[in-house]
Amino acid sequence: MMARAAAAVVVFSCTGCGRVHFEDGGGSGGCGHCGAALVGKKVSGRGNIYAFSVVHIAPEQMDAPYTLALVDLEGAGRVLCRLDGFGVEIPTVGGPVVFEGNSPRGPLFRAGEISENARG
Amino acid sequence: MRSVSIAGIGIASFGVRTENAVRLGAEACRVAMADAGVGPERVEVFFLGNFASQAFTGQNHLAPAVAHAAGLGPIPCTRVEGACASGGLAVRQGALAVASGAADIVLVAGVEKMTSAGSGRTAEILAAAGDFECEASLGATFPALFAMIARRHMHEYGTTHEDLAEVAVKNHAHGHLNPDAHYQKEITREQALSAREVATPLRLLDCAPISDGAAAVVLCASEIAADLPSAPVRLLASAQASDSPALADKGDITRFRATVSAAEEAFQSAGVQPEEIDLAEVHDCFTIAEILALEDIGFYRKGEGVRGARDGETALGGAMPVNTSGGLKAKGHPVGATGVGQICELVRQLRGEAGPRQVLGAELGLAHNLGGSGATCAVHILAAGA
Ligand SMILES: [Zn+2]
Repeated sequence: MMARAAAAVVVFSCTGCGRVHFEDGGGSGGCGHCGAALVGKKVSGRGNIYAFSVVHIAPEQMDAPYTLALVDLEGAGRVLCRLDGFGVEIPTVGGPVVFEGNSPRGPLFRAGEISENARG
Repeated sequence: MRSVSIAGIGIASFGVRTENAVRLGAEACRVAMADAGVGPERVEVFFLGNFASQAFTGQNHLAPAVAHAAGLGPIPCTRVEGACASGGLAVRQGALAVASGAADIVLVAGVEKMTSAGSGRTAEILAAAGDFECEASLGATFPALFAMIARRHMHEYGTTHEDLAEVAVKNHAHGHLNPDAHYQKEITREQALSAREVATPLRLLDCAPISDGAAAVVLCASEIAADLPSAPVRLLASAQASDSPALADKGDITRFRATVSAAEEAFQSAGVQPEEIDLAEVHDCFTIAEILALEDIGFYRKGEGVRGARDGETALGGAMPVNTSGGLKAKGHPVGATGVGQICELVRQLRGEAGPRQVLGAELGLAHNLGGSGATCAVHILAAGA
């Protein structure tokens, strides 16, 4: 697995519905879902895969295959994201991932390094 | 509230149909009215379940169009949308209209014309039943959402792909006995396990097909049903519940809160227990969805829903047959028609008119219709007799 260290990232948690966003609300300044205020918070960028799927039949204007995952982001909550960088390896439920950045198709995570605790 | 009965049923066969949505809907309506022995002039209110006719065919404002084509008078006509639960919600609206006394005879139909759109466009339209901002825009197709649910169910309860395949094999065996089904061929486990991957771990035969079709029911006050020709079937309960459309908002994605709530309310209002149900039509848009439904409704404990198909308990001849119509899996899934079609199958069974797929001695049936990845759920309980 192409392991990498996590870089800290600021996420924006909604004070209304609890959703986690990777960008502030832009001009409107609020949660894109419910409109409530967002609170910025620095988190480790590390997370674990809650569930995933490799999608082979894509909607129009998207190229398959790609991997989607629900990731439990440390200190933030659960987010749906794209996974990248697993190469021929298949992600596993519970496996570590790190935030890579925002992409036009939503937040992107990569295979992460296994933490000292998990290794022990 | 007044007691509600189902006086007539009608299906415009599911599959690839050349007719447009209006004609399909009107066909099912005419069959249902003829079955009920009720002329179009006696229908007081019309509800139509439809998910996305604008996106699939360019035609919106479908309810008055179908009503006109079916020969109904200038009555109130309302389209109801709740993704794949649109039909179940339309049945519930019709039942409320009769129960409240607003109308004595109500016609409810559901229709979807899907096969004229390409597969990529269809995936995009169906994905809009999820949360656009945080799901569809990432490429979270409908199969992908249920695939993640299946993956998590496998992780938590040891469910295997073989377990999923058993659901597909069973429902195709049932569809083999249904002349209105989209797929009337049996399939083998090996075919299910080697079919093309759609979104891992789901393969093509884990997914309900894209179908055209329509279904309709005539609902009436129970005291009127006695004067109509068909064997009476009572609607004991009609319940509905909701949850967030987005999977990330749900704590445990292996349990749909909307199904749990709607089923609890339905059992309570009908005054029956899950173990008293003789047969059920549940929303198997994917094989994993049937397993979740069996658990969430309360037929099985969480994690044990796989036993239904694996041990033959939910097959015809088993303790509680599930999806005797073939389910969405084999009967087909013309989205807006599905929930109404489930009611048609239960009525046929409760009348003892289901032919080779008849469940002997069926007296109580349950229909479970789900919209999106658990955002909307309608549960109906039906009983044979006046
Ligand atoms: Zn919010």
